[in-house]
Amino acid sequence: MPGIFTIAKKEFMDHVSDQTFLLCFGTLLVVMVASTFYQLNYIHQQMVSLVPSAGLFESELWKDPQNSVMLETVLTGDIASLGALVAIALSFNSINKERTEGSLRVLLSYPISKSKIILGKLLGGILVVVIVVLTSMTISLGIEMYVLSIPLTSEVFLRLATIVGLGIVLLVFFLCLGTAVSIVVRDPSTCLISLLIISTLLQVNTIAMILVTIGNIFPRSLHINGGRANLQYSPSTYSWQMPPVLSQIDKNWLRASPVLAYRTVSDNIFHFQNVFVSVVHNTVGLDIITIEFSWLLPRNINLMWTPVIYLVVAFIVCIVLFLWRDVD
Amino acid sequence: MPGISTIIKKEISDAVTNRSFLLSFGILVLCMVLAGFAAGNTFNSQRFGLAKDRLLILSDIAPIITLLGALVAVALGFNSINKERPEGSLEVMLSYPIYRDQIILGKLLGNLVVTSIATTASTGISLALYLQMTKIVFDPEMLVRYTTLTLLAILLLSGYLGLGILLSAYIEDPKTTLLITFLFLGIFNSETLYSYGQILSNLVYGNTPRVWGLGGSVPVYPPAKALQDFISSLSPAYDFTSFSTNLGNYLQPMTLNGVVVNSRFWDLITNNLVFLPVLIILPVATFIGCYILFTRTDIS
Amino acid sequence: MASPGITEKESQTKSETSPETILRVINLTKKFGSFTAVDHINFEIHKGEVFGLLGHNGAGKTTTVNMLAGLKLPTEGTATISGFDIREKPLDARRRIGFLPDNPGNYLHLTAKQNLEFFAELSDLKKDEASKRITDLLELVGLTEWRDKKVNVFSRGMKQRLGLAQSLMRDPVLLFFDEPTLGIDPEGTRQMRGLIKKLAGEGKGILICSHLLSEVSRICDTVAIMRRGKIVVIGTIPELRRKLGLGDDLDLEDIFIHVHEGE
Repeated sequence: MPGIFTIAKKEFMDHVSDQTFLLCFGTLLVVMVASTFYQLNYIHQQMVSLVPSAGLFESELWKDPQNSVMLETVLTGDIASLGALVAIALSFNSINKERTEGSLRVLLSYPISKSKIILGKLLGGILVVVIVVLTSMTISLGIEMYVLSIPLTSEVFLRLATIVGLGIVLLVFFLCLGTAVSIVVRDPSTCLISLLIISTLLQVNTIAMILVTIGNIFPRSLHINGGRANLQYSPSTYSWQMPPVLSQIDKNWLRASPVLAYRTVSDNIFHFQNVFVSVVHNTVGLDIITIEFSWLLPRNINLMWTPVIYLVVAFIVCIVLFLWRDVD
Repeated sequence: MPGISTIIKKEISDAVTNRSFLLSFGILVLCMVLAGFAAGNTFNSQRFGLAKDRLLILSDIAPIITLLGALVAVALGFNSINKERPEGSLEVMLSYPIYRDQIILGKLLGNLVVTSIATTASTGISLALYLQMTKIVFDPEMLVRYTTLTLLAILLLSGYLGLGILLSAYIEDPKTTLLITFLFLGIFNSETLYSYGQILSNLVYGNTPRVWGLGGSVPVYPPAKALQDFISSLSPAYDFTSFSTNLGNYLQPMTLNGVVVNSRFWDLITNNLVFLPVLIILPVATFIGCYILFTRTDIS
Repeated sequence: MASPGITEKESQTKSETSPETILRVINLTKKFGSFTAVDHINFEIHKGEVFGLLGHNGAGKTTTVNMLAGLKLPTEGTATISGFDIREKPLDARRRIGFLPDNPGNYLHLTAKQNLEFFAELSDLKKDEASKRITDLLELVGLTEWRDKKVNVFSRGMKQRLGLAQSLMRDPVLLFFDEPTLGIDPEGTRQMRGLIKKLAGEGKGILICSHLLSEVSRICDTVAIMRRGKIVVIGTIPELRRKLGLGDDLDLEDIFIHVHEGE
C-alpha cells in the first residue's frame, strides 16, 4: 500500500521535527522524571521508617501494596494529562494546517483514495504516540527498577506491558479525537481549545467529582478514592474484590471515562502482594499473600475495555468524517 | 478617557461572544453547580452537621478553579492580540489617534473585568446552591472567607490571563500561545513543583527525617522544609489550593487552659501570607510585561 | 516524457471519443442542499487546447474544477478524462490530471525537493525515475538553485512555479490551473504564460480558472463564461463576439461585462 505508507512516513517525519511537539514531549519527560524521583523518595521514606517486625526483606519492599502502587500511580497520571496534551498537539492541526496551506486539495487530486489519506495520517501519528509512551515509561520505570533492584520477572513484565499498552491505547484515543475535531472545526485555535477542554473534562478529578455528585443522587453512593475505585482485599475470604458499596449502576459510571478506567486498572494491576497481621494463640504473625497477574487480569478486563472502546469509536468517527465531509 | 473605555467595551463584547470562552465558562459553571450540590449533600448526610464542615464548599471548589477556571482565563487571553494580526485590525487600530498604552490597558482591563465577573459568578452560584441545600446561616465570617477566596481566585486567574495575553503579544501564532500556556500550567501545577521541591531539598540537605501529611511528606529539619516550601510555593495553583483549603477550615471557639487555641480568621490570613507572593507577582509581572512589549516594540 | 501508472490494459479500455478529446463534461451538476452551484454544464477540451473558465465570484468555476479534479462528487452528470469516467473510475481519471489550486498547496516546512519527492512517491514513481523527473521539473520551472531551500522563504511566484512542477509530476494529459497568475508580478506572469503555452504545445489540455481577463485573452484558445452555475456562452473570442452579436473591436472584458449586464 504505497499511498498509506508514503503519507504515514511524511506525517511521522513532520511530527518529530515539529517544535511544538518536541516542546510538549520534552515537558512530559521532565515532569515524569520529577514524578519518578517523588515516588522513589516516598518508597525510601517507607523503607527508612518501616519497623523491622514487618518481616519483609528490604529488597522486596517495593512489593508492599502501598509502595508497589506508588511505583506507577503518578506516572499514569502524567501520561493521562500531559501525554494527552502531547497527543492533542500532534493531531489538532493535522487537517487544518493542510487545508490552510492548500496541500489538502492537491493531495485529494492525486490517485489515492480518501481512506488511504486519513489512514496514513493516523498511522503516522500512532507511531509517534507509541514512541512517546514507550520512551517516557521506559525511562521512568527503568530508573525505578534500577534504583529499587526490581527484577524483570514475567510477573513484573506482564504488568508493565499492560500499563504501557493501555497508555498507548489511551493516547491513540486522544490522537483520533484530535484528528476528528480537526476535520470538523476549521479554525485551529477553536479546535485546540475545544480539545483541551474535552481533555480536561476527561481527567480524573473532574470526572470523579461529577461521578460522586451523580452517585449521591442514586440510592447507593459511589465509593471513590482519589477518583479511582480500587480493589480491596478481604482477609476473611483471602480474595480481592471491588468495593462492596459499588452498585452495578456505579460500575457503569466508572466505565464512562477512559482516563478513570486506565488509572484504576493501572493501580489494580500493580498489586503484587498483601501483608496482613494475624493473631493466633497470642502470637502475632504475618501472612504474605502473593497476587498473580493471571488472577488480576480477568478481574480488570471489563475496565480495560473502556479505553479500547473509546479508541475504536474515535477511530471510526474520524475516518467516517473524513470520507463523508468535504474536507478541503 | 474615550480611547480606553472604547477598547474595554469592545473587549468585553468580544469576550461574551467568544465561543471558546462561552464553552469553558459553561463547563466551569456546570462543575461549580455540581460541587455545590455534592458539598451540600455531604454536609447533610452527616448526622449532626458538624460545625467544622460549614465551610466545606470553599475547599471543594478550589481544585475546580485551578483546573477549569484556568481554562476560562486562557480562553480569553491566548489570542487577544495575535488574532488581530492576520485580520489586519491591529495595524488599523495603531494608525488611529490613540496611544499604544491606552490600547493595551484597554485590552488588559477589559479581559480582567470579564475574568472577575466570571469567577465571582461561578463561585457565587456554587455557594448559593450550597447554602440553599444546607440551610447554613450566611454569617459575616463566612462572607469574609468567601470574599477572600473569590479575590484569591481572581488573582490566580488574572495571572493566567496575563500570561496568555503576554504570550499572545510575543508569539504570532495563537496555537503556539495556547500550547505554551498549557505547558506552563502543566509544569507549574501543584504536584510537579512539589516533587521538585522534595528532590531539591533532598539534594541540598540529604535524606532528612520527614513527616507525612495529607499533601505528602515534609522535612522536619527547618531549612529543608523552607526550601521545599519555597519551591512548592512557586506554583500559583499550589498557593491558591493551600490557602483555600485553610480558608475552608472552621474551628469552633475552643480554649485550652484558658488560652484560645483555635485559629480565627485573621490568624488564618497571617499564617497563610506565604502563599500570597506568587499569586500577586504573576498577574502584576505579566501585565507589566504586556505593557512593555506592546508599547516599546514593533508589535504589528 | 513517459506517462507513469497507465498500463496497457487501461489504454485498451478507453471509451469511444475523438482521439483529440481529452475532457468531456456531460451535464455536470453540483448542489449544496437547495443551492445549485453548478447547473448542468457541458463542454470539451482537446489536445493542446488552453480553455479558460471565467465568471464572477460564486459563479461555480472552482466547484467545477473541484469536481473534475476529484475533490467533490457531482450531484448529477459526469465527465470523462481520456475516456475514463470520473465517477466510475475516479483513480484512473486522476492519474491523468495535474492540479494547481489557487493556493499552490506546497508544504511550507519542506524544501522544494522534499515537496516534489513526496508527490513523486504518491505518484508511484520509482526512486531513480522520480529523481530524474524532479530534476527536469525544477529546471523547467526555473527553481533548480532553490531545490534545497524551504518553501516558506519562497515568493508567491516561486511557490506558484513549484506548484506547477508538482502538477506535472505524473506527466498528465490534462491540467487544471485555478488562478495561476493571481498575485504574481509581471515578470512572473510572463514566465507562467510561457510555461502554459509550452505545455499546450506538447499536446496537454489545460483548463484555467481566472478573473484576469487580460491574461485569459492572451493565453486561452477557447473561453467559457459562467454565470450562476451555468455556462452562458462558449467559444473562441471571435466566436463569442459573433454569438453575442457584438462588434469586432470589443475585447474579452467588454464581452464579460455584456454577459453580466443587469447584475
